Amino acid sequence: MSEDKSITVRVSGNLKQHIAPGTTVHNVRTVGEAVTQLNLPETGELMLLVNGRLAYWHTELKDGDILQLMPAISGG
Amino acid sequence: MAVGGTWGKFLHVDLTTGRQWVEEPPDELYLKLVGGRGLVAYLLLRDLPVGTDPLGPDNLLIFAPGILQGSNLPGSGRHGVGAKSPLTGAIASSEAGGWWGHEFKRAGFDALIVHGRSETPVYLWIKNGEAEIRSAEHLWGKDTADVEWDIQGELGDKRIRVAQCGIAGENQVLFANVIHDINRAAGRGGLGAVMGSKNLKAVATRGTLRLPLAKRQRVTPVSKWLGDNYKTKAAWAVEIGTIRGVNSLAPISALPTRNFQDPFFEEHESISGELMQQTILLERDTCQVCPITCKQVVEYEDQTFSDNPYLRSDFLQKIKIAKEYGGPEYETLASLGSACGVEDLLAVSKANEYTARWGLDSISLGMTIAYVMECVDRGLLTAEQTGGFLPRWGDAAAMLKAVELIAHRQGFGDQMALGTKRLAAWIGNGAEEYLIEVKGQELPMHEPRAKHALGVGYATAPVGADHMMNMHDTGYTQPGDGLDRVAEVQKIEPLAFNDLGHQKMELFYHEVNWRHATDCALICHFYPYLYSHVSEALSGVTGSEYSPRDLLAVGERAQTLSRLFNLREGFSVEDDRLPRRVMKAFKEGPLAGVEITEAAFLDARNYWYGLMGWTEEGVPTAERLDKLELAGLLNGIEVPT
Repeated sequence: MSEDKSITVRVSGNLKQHIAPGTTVHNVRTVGEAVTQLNLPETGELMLLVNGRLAYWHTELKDGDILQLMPAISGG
Repeated sequence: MAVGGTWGKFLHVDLTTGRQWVEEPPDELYLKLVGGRGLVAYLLLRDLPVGTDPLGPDNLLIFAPGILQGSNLPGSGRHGVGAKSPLTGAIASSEAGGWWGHEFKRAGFDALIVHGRSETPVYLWIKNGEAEIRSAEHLWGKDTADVEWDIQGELGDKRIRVAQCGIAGENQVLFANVIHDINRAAGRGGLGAVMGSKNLKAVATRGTLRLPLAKRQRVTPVSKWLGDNYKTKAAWAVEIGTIRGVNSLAPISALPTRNFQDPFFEEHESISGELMQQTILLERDTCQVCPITCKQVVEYEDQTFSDNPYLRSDFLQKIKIAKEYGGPEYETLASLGSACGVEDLLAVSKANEYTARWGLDSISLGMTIAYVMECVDRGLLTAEQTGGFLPRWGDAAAMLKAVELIAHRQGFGDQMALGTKRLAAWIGNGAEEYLIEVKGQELPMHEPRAKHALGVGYATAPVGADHMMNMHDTGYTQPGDGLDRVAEVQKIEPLAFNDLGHQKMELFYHEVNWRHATDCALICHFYPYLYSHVSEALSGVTGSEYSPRDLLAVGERAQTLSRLFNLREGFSVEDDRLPRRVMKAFKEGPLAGVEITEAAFLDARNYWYGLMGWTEEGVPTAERLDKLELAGLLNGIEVPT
């Protein structure tokens, strides 16, 4: 029987056009699987956070985790 | 035309004698080095005696565009400036955007090398293959906008582009910059001081010559790709620009606060890009042939913004901010804002105006003021030592006063103008413990604890701590443009921000070579090009074939030549280190407990040395110099091995 993990997704900036508040994803093992499920269009570089801490594509998720996607910045 | 995109001419001007001559470099130099940093490092190695005083007449001030300048390829609105740095004693090599580089290249020269020192203030006027030395006595001491407008008026052409040192450069502030187009800076390393030390006020240029390209039909598809894709791939730059960084980095402890001491700046909304957009942002601005238009222009006269709870300022209706000086970018919002504990957007924006008006690197400026604030806070500086000037954390008026004192070398500003490393030595009493610099250059506004490979990059960059010739780990934590670009030479999986393993350093090796290559070609770092876009453009412009690996080799050459120069000047592996504060974990917040261990740092750094073909002491080997095909160019030049 597969575990029904519920992950809440929060986004900022122009990602808000694509992800409504309160969006959740289910049955995903990692951040990467969650982001893939969201099926976002071209977004540019993102910072991935789980429960407010920097994560990455292969970070594992637990039920109730909050996944946050923020645009990354590198210069200026 | 031997090499497309070039004139085959370097212009040399000796300000001591007034003599000018044209050097005609071999094709090999253009094809291997391309321009920008590669050219700067090579010329310094070739022509600068060891131990040259950076503020003496023997230093060289080099204006180095690259092969792509003048080609109208999107992203080519940029050029390099270099010298031996008076701040660090290492190579100084910075880039500026805007319009000057394109114009200069169209005036018929591939580079300008300034020698010697004029007895009286002068400026150079370079127009379509000719150069003239003109008096600048009437320009000395003036603000950058007035200098540019005066020169345009005097020479009768509003299209003349001007590079200049501001009064900070005249006063030889060690982190004075070279300002172009009134508000675009070759920011770091004190190039403005070198310019001022030569009594060279400005280089004015106007060029209408047609740059020959070998195969334009190979360049056009790259331009078209950019036109078709920039709105999505560079969306952040189009929609808001770098100023988004304040609010996006603050929540992850990555906004440097109070000289990198604190994990969070509560008041970050008050110095944010979003607040700027709601209040003082007038319009956006761009560079030559760039559709992205990422730059900020602010203006302030007397609005109250009383309905905006985030705008907290002691300067409402008390100052004016002029639009000709552009507006703060992320680095400035942080360096003169959160790094100093300052939450006053008007004050930070006014300080930004000063950096353009007077010609100061905002990063070293802000970090020097932050350092002084920390020393005051810790009781290491007394009123007696500073003539009564004791700025405290968050004091916006004191921050502005510090900028004025530094630019004019007045009072304690005379000491502050030397940067933090010399200031620490002057203060003594253990003040060195609070230094946040590498090789004497202050850290930029990116937190190494949130980007561990960036930290290794701070330690190893040839100019001292630098965030542009570096890699930002957060861009490679998921599939996307960064990893797609690298996949053109090596397939690498997404990696965590704090991974310092060998895969991460291989990624770092390629991407840092790429950044140096784009500082030679030259291309703006905000452009979403793949390696193959730029290598294809370079092939088309020159008529010579560049693969992505060939392009990365151009960047590797620039790093290696810079390294050889620094080693010859006495730098060593001991200088490739990070300040302890930014390796030690924060105690609170999202990065709590995350440290960069000495062992992980050394292993990563030394593995990268190996990838570069350098010894464990960070010395390029003869084998690697051969592989990079540098033997010909280095023939007769003394280099450490």
